[in-house]
Order: sequence, then structure tokens, then C-alpha cells
Amino acid sequence: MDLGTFFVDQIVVHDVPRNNTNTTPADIVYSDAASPLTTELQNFFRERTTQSLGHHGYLVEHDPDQASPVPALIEAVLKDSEQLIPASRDIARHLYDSQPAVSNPGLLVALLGRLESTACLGILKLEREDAIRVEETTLPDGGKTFSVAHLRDLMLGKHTRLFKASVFRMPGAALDMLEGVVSDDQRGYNPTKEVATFFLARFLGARLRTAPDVATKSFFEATQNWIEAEVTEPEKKARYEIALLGEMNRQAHTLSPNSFAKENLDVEDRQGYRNFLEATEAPTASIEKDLKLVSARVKRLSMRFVESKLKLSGPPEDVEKFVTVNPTDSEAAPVEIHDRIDEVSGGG
Amino acid sequence: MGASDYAEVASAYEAERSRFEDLAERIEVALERDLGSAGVYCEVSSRAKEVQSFVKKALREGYADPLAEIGDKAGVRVIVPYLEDVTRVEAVVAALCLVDDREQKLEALAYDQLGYLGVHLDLRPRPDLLTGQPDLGPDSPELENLHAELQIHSKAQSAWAVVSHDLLYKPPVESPKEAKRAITRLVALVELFDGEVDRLRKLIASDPDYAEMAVAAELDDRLLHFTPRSPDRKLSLLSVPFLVHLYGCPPAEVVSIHIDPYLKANRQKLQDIYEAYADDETANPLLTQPEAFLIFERLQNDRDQLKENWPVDSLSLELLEGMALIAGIDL
Repeated sequence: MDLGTFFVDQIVVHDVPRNNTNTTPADIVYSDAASPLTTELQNFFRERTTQSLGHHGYLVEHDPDQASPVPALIEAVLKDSEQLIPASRDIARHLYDSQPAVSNPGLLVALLGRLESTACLGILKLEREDAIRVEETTLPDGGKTFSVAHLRDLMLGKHTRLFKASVFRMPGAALDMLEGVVSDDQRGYNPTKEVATFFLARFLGARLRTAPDVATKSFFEATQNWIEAEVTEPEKKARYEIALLGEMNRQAHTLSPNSFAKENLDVEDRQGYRNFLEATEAPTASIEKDLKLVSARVKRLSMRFVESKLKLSGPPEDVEKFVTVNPTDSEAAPVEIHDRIDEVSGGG
Repeated sequence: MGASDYAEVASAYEAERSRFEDLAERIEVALERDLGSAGVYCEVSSRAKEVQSFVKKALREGYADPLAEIGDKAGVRVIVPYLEDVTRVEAVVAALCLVDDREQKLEALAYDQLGYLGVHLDLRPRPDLLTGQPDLGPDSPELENLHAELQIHSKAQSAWAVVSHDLLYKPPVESPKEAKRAITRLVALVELFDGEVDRLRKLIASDPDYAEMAVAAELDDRLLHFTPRSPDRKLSLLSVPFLVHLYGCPPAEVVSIHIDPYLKANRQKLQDIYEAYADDETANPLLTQPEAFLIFERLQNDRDQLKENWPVDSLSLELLEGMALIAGIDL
């Protein structure tokens, strides 16, 4: 999905309060019309949405097992733009109903636009932000000062992180063709799911397009294949292998191929790596990490030594063939490598 | 020779003329196409020799076999702005036709002589030119062994050739010696004009950023398809030389090898982007610069080198990040 082809035509905003014992659906403040927009505002929403989705967006699809009315409402808008106001009101109501009591109140923004020249609907959940505004003021005696005001009703700044975003389109007529991208900048500390379950499943009625374990395996294997096929220098090969293992073993629950490239690969290798992932249909967008299908290989590939902090890594079959790990209570060396040295290189 | 000779020669040529017309036109169209692709801006024209003109030449110059011996039955003319373009034209011609003879008119003149200038080539079409090229018309293998004459002139040479022909040969009376001498000495100005133009072009091209900024000038023509806004040349100077160096190929090849294919593949997307930002006063200033295409193309095909080498001392990284956002690329 080329997010550079996403453009915003109309915006509708609804104010959705926190869902707790102090509120009822009657407290939702609905819009009766689309918000007036300048070109600057259209592009601002466009860029903020694509920034969030591009940086950590997940490819998703309609999940028929969810009871959410949102997919059908999206379909209604995509087939008839006149439905934007009524459908987005229903979406706002469903947000209120589906969000847990701990979710902050916020604004539901529906964006009607275009993605790759076809109609699309963006659904954002924003939380109000506050900021200090400073204005130069002239005193009665002609002197200057600055008046300071606390603004509490800002909704979206360049660096807003209180932000859930999604964009959907329907390449075919049937509802099961509904597909989109979803991101969640509003993650708590060490979340178990990158996109809050309530937002993706209960609210949007969607699921990740590729199961996390399958996507993780695909990323892992494609990256290994790339290292094997495209990286010729032994030192670099080892460095990238170790980086891959490090990525797989990190505590984070998400995995971004783009971030992996930026953080671990030399500049001249990154684009080739991305191209390889695309060509082999491996994930290029963010994925939720699930090591179920690769855990054995990941563990066998990597060894870190206690005192020296040295790390040994290699293809599983080579480690199995050439490396012997002896029990700690044996008299033999803890680790033996049965091979001859091919090349030694110094630092610098 | 009498009336029957006229009729016989005319009839023989008339029967063949359409083939020469086809050949001349085919070479003209192919040259326009390939010279355009090579970035040579020039005028190309063609004609088959008129019957009357052919017969006149055949009878008055006494050819034994005029159909075989007269060489300019199919004629093509290329007029280039600058003398240095002549060799580029010849390279394109050689890819399309076999060159049986080449005549550089200046070389035929003694050092103290003045006269007609230009390059004449005697050509036969290569087989590839005659078949499998639907944009040039239906396959015409029957034209394979026909000859055509190609003239290459600078604009100044062409102007002199036309004027001297009109004044020396067309008047119904013999031009006086004084007029002939005056017309002939004008050719000295042609030589001087082309020589000075050549020197000035080299002087301008000696600017260290010339080759890179020529890329910006080339891109400016393409930018006009997307936005009417005038670019800021000083802003271009801050990034174009660096951007062109990223490609690692001669600057003159950057547009044809990298940018044109990118523009072709992304035309609709770019049109939508420029339309969306047309009235946006807060839009990234680089968007309406010719270098926008270099940035977009590199963002798509090698964003890491672009970011790594971005000249942060003169251009904020935020500008690049803003362009990436516009293109929908996570930098």
C-alpha cells in the first residue's frame, strides 16, 4: 500500500467521552456536518496520518469473527460518500461502547479520501492535548511583555503521540475484501499487543493480515536468505547474523524490518535488503513478534559467553556440525570449535 | 537529348520516387525520435527530390545512369543550434544507418578559401530501421539498398546556405561579381559566429556546478507539467550538486536513466501530490523545486544514502523529512 497516494477530502469530528459510570452515550457530541477544511489542514491530516501509519502501521483485514459494526459502516461510506456523517456517528458510538473504562476520552475523526486512486476511509482516535501559548503584549505604558495562556483543547500537533490511526479501502465489492493499515502511537509501558486489542478487534472489527508467528518466520527466513545470498564479506555476514538474532531475542513485542535495517545494516546495504524483502514477499511493514515457529532455530544459532561477552553465531547446521558444547561439570573445555582458522582481522 | 529523353528519365524516376519519399520520411521520423531521446534539440526535415529537379540534373549534368548515380534523391536535413551537436547527431545517425561516405565541407576548402559549410553523409538504412518499428510505420524491407543524403548544418551554416543559394543561383540574371564576393565573404561571419558560440558555451560550462545545475535546468521542464510555480535557483544550488553526485553516473545521464523512468512510473501519484499542495502556503519549499524529483526518486530507491549524505549544514534535515512525508515514505 503506497501511503504517498493517500489524500484527504473531507473530515468529520465527533467528541467521545470516557466510558464509565459517570457518562452515557448521550454525552457523545456528534457533528452534523463535515468540518470546514483549508488545503493546509487537509495536508496536515494527510501527513500526520501517513507518518503514523508509515512508521509503525500494521496491515490488517476484516475479521468476520468480530461483532463490530465498523466494517459494514466503512463499506457504506466507501460505496456512498453521503453516508460519511451518519456512518461516522455510528462509528463514534461504537467507539464509546467498545473502549474500556481506562481509555481516555478523545475525538473520533473520520477522514474520507483516496488511496491509490480509490476511495478510502481513515478513522483516527485523538486525545486532547494541552500546551502553553505565548503572545507578545503591549502594556498600557508602552512596555512589552508576554501573555501566557494554557490551551487545553488542542487535538493534533506535529509531535502528537496520543494517536490511533487507521485507513481502510475495499479493492473488491465484498466486505471480506476490506483491507487497511492500523497504527497505535498510544502504547502503554511494555504492551503485550502493539495495537490495543480493543481498537483493532472490538472496535474496528479487524485482524492482522498475516498471523504474527507466520510473519515473524517469514521475516526471519527472508533476512537470513538475504544475508546468505547478498552479503559477501565474512565479517559483515557475522555482524548481520548476530544483529538478526539480537532482534529476534529482544524483549520488544514488535518487529519493524525498516527499523532493523536502519539500526543494524550499513547504509549501502539497506535499500537492497528492503528490495529483497519486497521481492520475496516477506513483511516490510511492522509485525507483532511471535517466535513460535522459529524459536528453536533462534536459540540454536546464538551463544553468548559469560565472562568475555563473546558471541558465537552461525547457521544451525554448521553450529551443530562444528561446535561441541560440553557439560559444565566435564573436564573438557566448555565449548569446542572443530575447524581451522581461515582469516583473522584486527580492529579499527 | 530531346523530349523523349525528358519523358524517359522523368518516367523512370516517377516510378521510383515514392520509395525515396518513404525512405526519407522514415529516417526523418527515426531521427526525431532518437535525437529527442538523446537530448539533442534540433530541426529535422526531409524530402524526395522533385521530378523536375531530378530530370534537370540528369540531363544537364550528363549522367549515364541518373537513377543510380544521383545521390540526393532521398534527402534529410538536420539543423542543430551548436556545432558541437554535430558529432552527437552523427552518432545517432550511425546507429540507424550505414554511412557509406562522409564529407566535411570545411575540410575540402583550402586555408584561403571560403565556401559552403556543413557535413554531408551518404546513407543506407540498417535492416533494424526498416522492420519491427511500428512507430515508424509498416515494415519496409524493400528500402534496404536505397541511398539517402543527410546534411547536418548549424543554424548559422543553414542560414548562409539558404541565402547564398537564393542570391547566387535563383536570380534570372547572373549575379554581379561584387554580389558574389559579398555573399561569399559572409560565410566568414558564419565561421566566426559558430566559433564564438562554441567558445562561450565552453566558458559557461567551466563553472564547477555547471554539469549538476544543467540537470536542474532539464528537470525544470518536467516540473512545469506539475506546477506553474517558479523555482528558486539559489535554493537549487544548495542541494542539486550533492543530489546529482548520489547517482554515481555522469550528470548528463541522471535524468534519462533515473528520473524519466521514475516520473513515468509515478506520474499519477505526483500529479495528485502537486494538486493537493497547489494552494498550500505551508508546503515544503523543496516541493516546487526541480530537485524535488531527485529527492523523490532517491527516497524511493535509496533513501538511506540520501539521508546519510543530506547537506545538513545548508539544508535542515526537516526539509528532507517533510519531503518523505509528502511521498509517504518512512525515513
